[in-house]
Amino acid sequence: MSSADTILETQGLTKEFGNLVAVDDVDFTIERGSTVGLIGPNGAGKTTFQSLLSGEHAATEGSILFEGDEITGTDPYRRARMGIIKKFQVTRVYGSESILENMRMAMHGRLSSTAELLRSHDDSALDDRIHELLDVANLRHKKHENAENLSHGEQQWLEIVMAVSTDPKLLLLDEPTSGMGPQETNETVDLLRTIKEETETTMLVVEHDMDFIQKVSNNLTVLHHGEILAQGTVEDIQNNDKVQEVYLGRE
Amino acid sequence: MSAAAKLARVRKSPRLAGKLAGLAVLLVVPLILSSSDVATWSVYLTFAILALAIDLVWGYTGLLTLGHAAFFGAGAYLAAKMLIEVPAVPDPVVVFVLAPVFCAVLALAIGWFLFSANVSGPYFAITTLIVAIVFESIAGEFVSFLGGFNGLYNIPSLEVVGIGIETIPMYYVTLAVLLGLFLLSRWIVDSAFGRALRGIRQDMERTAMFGYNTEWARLFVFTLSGAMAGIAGGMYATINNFVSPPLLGFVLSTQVVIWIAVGGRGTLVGAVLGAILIQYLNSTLSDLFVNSWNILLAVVFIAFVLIGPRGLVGLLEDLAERLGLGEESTAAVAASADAEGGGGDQYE
Repeated sequence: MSSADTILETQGLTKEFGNLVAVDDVDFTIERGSTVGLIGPNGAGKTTFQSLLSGEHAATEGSILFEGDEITGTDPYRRARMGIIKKFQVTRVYGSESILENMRMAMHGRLSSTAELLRSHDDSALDDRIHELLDVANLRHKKHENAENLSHGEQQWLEIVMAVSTDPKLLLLDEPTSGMGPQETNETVDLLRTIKEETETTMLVVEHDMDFIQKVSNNLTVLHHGEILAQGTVEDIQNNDKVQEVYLGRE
Repeated sequence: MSAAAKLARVRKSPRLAGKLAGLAVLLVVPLILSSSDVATWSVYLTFAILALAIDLVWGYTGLLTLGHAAFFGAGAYLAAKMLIEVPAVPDPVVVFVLAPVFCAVLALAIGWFLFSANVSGPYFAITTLIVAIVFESIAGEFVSFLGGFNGLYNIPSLEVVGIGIETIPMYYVTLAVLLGLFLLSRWIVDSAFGRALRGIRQDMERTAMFGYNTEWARLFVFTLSGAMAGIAGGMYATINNFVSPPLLGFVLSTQVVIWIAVGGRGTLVGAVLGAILIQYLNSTLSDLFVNSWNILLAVVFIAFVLIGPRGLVGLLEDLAERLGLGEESTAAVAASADAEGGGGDQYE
């Protein structure tokens, strides 16, 4: 199953909450440089699966391999330092900090030791990269504003570029268009495409909006009741009888 | 930077000017007051150091500690015991090395227990409160070793190579230590590490998932803060020549938290300002309003919580902004007036 270019692999990954099996024996791989869409109806276990990868939840059974290393029991901050960075579904930016400070916070986390953090008093070396990314998210003109003053969509984009600024190896995006209207959703598509072109970052995007996901990825995995129901291209998935039954059929 | 450029910088920054004015006041205190009053002010300064230590933990990292007097008192008791019973060890070593190291170890042990068990929020406040209560009872129970409720007295004043430090020089030593620890704290909170502490305060999980070791960062700042409280306590013992169990207790711990809230939490200078001002008012006004002073203090505190959550420092900054002092603040006023389209008086 795993090839030389597999960045992440799960084997028999299972998560139980009491009697509820949220993620059920999932074998799954992500190739380096790909963008994988993880879709499924509400309650399918998508978000739980992603939080097992980030380390927010501990797996009940099974294992997670990242670049060949077992990380199943590794602390979330260590996984982040290894390069697994998550953007939460409900925006988690630092509201009372400026956009600039938000970006600096993100950029220092993964690569600095405590001693380096203490010595670091001048962040002008980061400015170019910050400006580049803020341009992509169209937020540069607001860089001195506090994040809490941004619109919902802008906060989502800020958190996305914050995650990208860490130079992640695997970017986990949990419903990046959550709470957005059609216009903002389209802008998010453009943002993700630009980021992809520039950085070739491997992405795992959790989404329930089929229209959105097919614009950013042609490599889909469908989860249902915590199990993998189908995998393939957008076309494969759309023509899959089982998927239509449980998921698309309803719409 | 030339003297003229420095002067220009001070004139443009009301915040820096305010700090320098405060420092000037502290520098001239011994020239105005009687010797016994200077000793009292030295005590104010040791509590200001304790406030500074708590502000790092509470104001910046968001961990409300209601037990920090435990470290202050532990430093004071350690210094008292050593100075009375082990005169072979030089006094400065006791006060500036042993007391902070002892308290750092205590803070490290308590912090490790709290942070590895992920005790946070109100549970953190309650647990630290209990630590203070336990420390206070220990000091009260060990009558022969720690003096029980009578405490330890006749603690010698600080001596350096056989020369006793008089009241006024001791005041300046304390002021120098306060200033040094203030600058150290400033250096820390202005670094990328300080930014991470603010991140922990606002959203610890998010901060961890950017790759920050939040457990270690909290342990580091808690331990450092314990060491600072230990130095302050050690100096207190030599200045006051008497220590007793309430020095370790939760009443003192919570009082200092209130001083910081009044001064302005998460600003460092607010902790120092609040600590010195309230102690000063406490000693002068409590004579005037013998019975009502505590009620008055409570009213002031509630007023700050309700109308000025940024404390005195926040009020002073607003005032400076309104008076149009300083380049940045003037620009900010103009910008906010623009944004509100001239309807800026709706908040007046």
